[in-house]
Amino acid sequence: MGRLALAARLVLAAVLAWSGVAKAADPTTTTVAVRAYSLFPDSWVSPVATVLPFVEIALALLLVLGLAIRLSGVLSAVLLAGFIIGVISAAARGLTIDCGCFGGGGQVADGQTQYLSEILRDLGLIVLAGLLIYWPRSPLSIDALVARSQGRQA
Amino acid sequence: MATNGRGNKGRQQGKPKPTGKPKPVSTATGPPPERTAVGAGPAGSAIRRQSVATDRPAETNRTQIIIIGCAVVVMAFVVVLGLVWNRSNTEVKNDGYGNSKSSVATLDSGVITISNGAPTLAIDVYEDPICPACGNFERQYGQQIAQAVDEGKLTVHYHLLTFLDSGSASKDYSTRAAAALMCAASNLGSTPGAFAALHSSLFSEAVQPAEGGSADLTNDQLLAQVRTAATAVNVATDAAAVTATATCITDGTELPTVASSFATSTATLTALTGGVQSPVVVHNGAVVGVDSGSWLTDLLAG
Repeated sequence: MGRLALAARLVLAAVLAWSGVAKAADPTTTTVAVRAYSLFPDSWVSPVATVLPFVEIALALLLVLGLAIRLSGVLSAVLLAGFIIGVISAAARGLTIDCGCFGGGGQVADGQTQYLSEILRDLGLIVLAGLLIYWPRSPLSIDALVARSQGRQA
Repeated sequence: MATNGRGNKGRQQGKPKPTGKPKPVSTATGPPPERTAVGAGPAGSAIRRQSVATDRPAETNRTQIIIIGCAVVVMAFVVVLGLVWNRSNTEVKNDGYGNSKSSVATLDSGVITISNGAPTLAIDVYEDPICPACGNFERQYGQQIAQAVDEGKLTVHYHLLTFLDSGSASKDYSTRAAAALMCAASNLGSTPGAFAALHSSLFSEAVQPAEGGSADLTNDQLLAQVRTAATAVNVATDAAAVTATATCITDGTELPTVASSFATSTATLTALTGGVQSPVVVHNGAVVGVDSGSWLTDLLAG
């Protein structure tokens, strides 16, 4: 189970780091992608697009380090739930956009939307985050290191 | 250590090899207590610790708080670092220079070329008049480009795209704005700075319509921008060049050119990037990454 949690941590971290870096590398496109969801008032679009990639990267870092794993799991789950809500609402409103999950994003042609696969992928990632909330203990983590040294002290 | 269930577990996960034989035994008995302990959250682990009777729950809580505090600090640090880095990459280059003053514009097969003299360095810029990223690009690098052009170091070929027409309120803003730019280039282009003034105004924050917005510019409003640009370079609004531009816009003279040049650009961009997107800067047949902040400085340095 610990190793499963370790794998979940690393997979989540890799996905978050990848999507965060892709978004951070192309800030203008990320702004377009966020705006395309039409979920935020105009004045919020730019701040959200600017901060979001680095929140993802920071979460990835915490997961790799294994620092506050359960908290990282909760935050990842909240973030992913936000993404899923965004995509579902885009689909429900009949928008034709790319999720911009890994950079890119914005308007796409009718019939080029991939909402279902985007949602399924995020659901899969939420399961991983859920696993970390349920089972935060995993090897190769600062959490485990701290716990072990405490055990030794006692 | 061996009496501490946690220490034992950590050992097994860290280096599974040394405990070759006991492993199946411990995994058979291991999971149930583990699951209750961790699954029940911090409170659960505290309870378990009490049952192990080695640690005090108060210490665990304090450690938890410290760990969470560290995590928050790490997150804040990464985000702030990111924002600083982001800021350095999005700062407006050569702010204060303004529009190009000495460049003349020509229109050839739908491609608008601006230059001062005949520089050897040339870039191709692909942009859609309503594309927000193109607006950002122009606002960030427009003045740096203008200065390089004025100093005779750079030629810019503008290829106007119209793939975001459907994102405009009128459903054809990109096409009409592209046509207006072409009308200005062919009629006002020989006046230094005239086309550049119109071009940068159409991409300015105050004028560029929002993609997916509820309003854009009518042809009359585009024409008003032409008149403002002409005034800025001391051309009277009733000058022949301005009235010719006006007629060109109202008659839709350049609309076929817009369509044919967009078809050409679509083919070029698809070959280069796999699809139509904007803004795209091309130099010597290769896409230039414009997110680095120093791309133009690097190009100018050769």
